[in-house]
Amino acid sequence: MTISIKLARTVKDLLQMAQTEYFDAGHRTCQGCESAMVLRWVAKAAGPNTIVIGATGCMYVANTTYYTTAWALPWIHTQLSGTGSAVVGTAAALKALMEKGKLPNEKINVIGICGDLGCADAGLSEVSNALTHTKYNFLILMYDNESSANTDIQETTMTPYGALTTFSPSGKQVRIMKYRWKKNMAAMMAVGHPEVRYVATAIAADPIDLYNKVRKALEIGGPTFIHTLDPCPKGWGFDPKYSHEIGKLAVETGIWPLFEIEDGKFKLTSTSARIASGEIKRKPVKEYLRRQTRFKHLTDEDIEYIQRKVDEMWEKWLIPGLIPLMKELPYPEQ
Amino acid sequence: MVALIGNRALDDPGAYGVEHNDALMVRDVGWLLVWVDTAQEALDTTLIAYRVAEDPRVMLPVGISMDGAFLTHSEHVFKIPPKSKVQKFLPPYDLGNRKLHPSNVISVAPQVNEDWVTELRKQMDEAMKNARKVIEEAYRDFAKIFGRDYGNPFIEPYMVEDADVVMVGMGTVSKPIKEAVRRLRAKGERVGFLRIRWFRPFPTEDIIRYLSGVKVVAVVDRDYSFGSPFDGGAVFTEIRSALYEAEHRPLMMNFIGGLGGREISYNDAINMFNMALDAARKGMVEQRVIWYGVRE
Ligand SMILES: Cc1ncc(C[n+]2csc(CCOP(=O)(O)OP(=O)(O)O)c2C)c(N)n1
Ligand code: SF4
Repeated sequence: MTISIKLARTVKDLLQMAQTEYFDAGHRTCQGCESAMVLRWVAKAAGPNTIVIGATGCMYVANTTYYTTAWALPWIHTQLSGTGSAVVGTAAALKALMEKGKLPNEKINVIGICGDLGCADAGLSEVSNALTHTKYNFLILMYDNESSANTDIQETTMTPYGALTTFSPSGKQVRIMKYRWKKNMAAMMAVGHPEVRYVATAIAADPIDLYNKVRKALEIGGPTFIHTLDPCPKGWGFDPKYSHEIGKLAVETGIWPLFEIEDGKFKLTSTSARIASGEIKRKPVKEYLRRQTRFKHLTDEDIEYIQRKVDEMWEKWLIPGLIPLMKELPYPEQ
Repeated sequence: MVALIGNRALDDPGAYGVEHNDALMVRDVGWLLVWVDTAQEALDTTLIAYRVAEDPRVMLPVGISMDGAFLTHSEHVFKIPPKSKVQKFLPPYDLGNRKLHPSNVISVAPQVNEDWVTELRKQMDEAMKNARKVIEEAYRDFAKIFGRDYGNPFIEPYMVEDADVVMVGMGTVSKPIKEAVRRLRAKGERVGFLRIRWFRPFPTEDIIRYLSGVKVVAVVDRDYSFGSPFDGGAVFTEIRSALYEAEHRPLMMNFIGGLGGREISYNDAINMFNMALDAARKGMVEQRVIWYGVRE
């Protein structure tokens, strides 16, 4: 490993290391909102020397209502697609002010937070551009609740195959409106920006893994990117008490592989690493899909199709979760 | 925040040249907007704009409009002021308790909804009104420190005394119009020109003062405002609105022209003046809005 910082290995470690809340009470997210949990862990991992920039979305509207705020960190709003520019501008300003002696020279984390629409769709070019700014240190966190949630659950390119949203209802003529497969965002950021030193996927249901990844991303320097998958009771259709369980199932079924790429080295982590090593067996995707009303209209054949796609990723991709090129291809030549 | 806007035509269709709609897009959302007509003025106005934008009484963004291509892409000779003078003119920017830094834990620009948005907009309204005074102070200090005096910061009157016809415009169209004024004056015609520098905040008082009692005011708009009152340009409409309060309301004409960077020569300006002089003689305007030079 190129960075040496103290990481959490056990829940006890985590509780000891991350006692102070920097994303605290006072927000109005739905009960069971895993995006809010992600922010809580990100804030804990980052600590007080941090500036947070939040794009429009649930994590703006629900967290910062005028005269209240959930943030015990300096926080500023940016436009829906503004995250990339805002983090570069903030990090560059801090660097310039420190170099001119106008601010004390110290390490300040800059974290840009954007939803799947704000990051992977509307803000993609800015985020991509930001990730080439290797002079500056910042983390872009994409919290992915798989819809434009704040505006009442519309489809984005990150909405998974088949899912119901207000833009992709199921009807008599067209049973599956969302026929487009979800984008492989973390992989795209990693492969497309080879100078970025840290890219990872994470999930709130695995807080140790998430916490450590945020710590590494902030420690390693330069632009970094983390993509979390966040069960959203309102948009996905399940009782809020199951948020955590649904998150775990996303990983255990192999739909959401947890990985990190540190200085070009790819590694599956936590449960996903155990799946890859054969230590645990992937659960059928059905166990995940059948728990959510957004998939209620799927037939057994639809679920088989999704299972096949997930199997393909784990068994045939050049690197599962990362590179969707098939091993059968004549490349690389043996 | 200060933005230098090289005004060009908005796509579609593509065109390199100037159209003021580029900057006018933000005219109603809290930007101060100023038009310049030389490179020197662009530089000077940039310094002034920072002074105004960063003044605690204002704190609104300023857009400095340069005519695309004509001004942004042509060579001019200009003087760069020494750093010491600039530092004297521009105090260090102090964000005070709005600094976004771990030493100052604040949340900036939260969601307000209907609870507070009216009050926040009213604050911007106050700031915009304050800006008139702050702009005057800034130009006064600028003249003292740099020795270049722009006179009235908001407008540039050119041979308007005793004029029967005054043409009004923004940006580089000032050059051919001034030439036309000189030539027509040499022939004894009582014509003048008023260049608007600051469009936001709008120089209402100056417009009334200079244009009340003039026989014909002819506004050259390098912009359009489709479906506006009388289907005129943006500048025409605003001047007409300001002059409603004038003691002696002039007749008004509007020339929409020079779009997409089409040149307005001094001959064109003379043509326009002649049409306005004709209206002045007749005491009536036959065609209020003229798309100058349009091929139909
Ligand atoms: C430019 C722009 N278009 C549309 C909106 C309306 N809007 C506000 S939040 C939002 C959804 C954002 O979705 P996402 O980034 O996925 O975040 P989420 O709401 O799911 O947390 C939209 C479309 C906006 N604020 N700005
Ligand atoms: S709609 Fe989803 S993402 Fe938004 S606050 Fe509710 S649970 Fe969280």
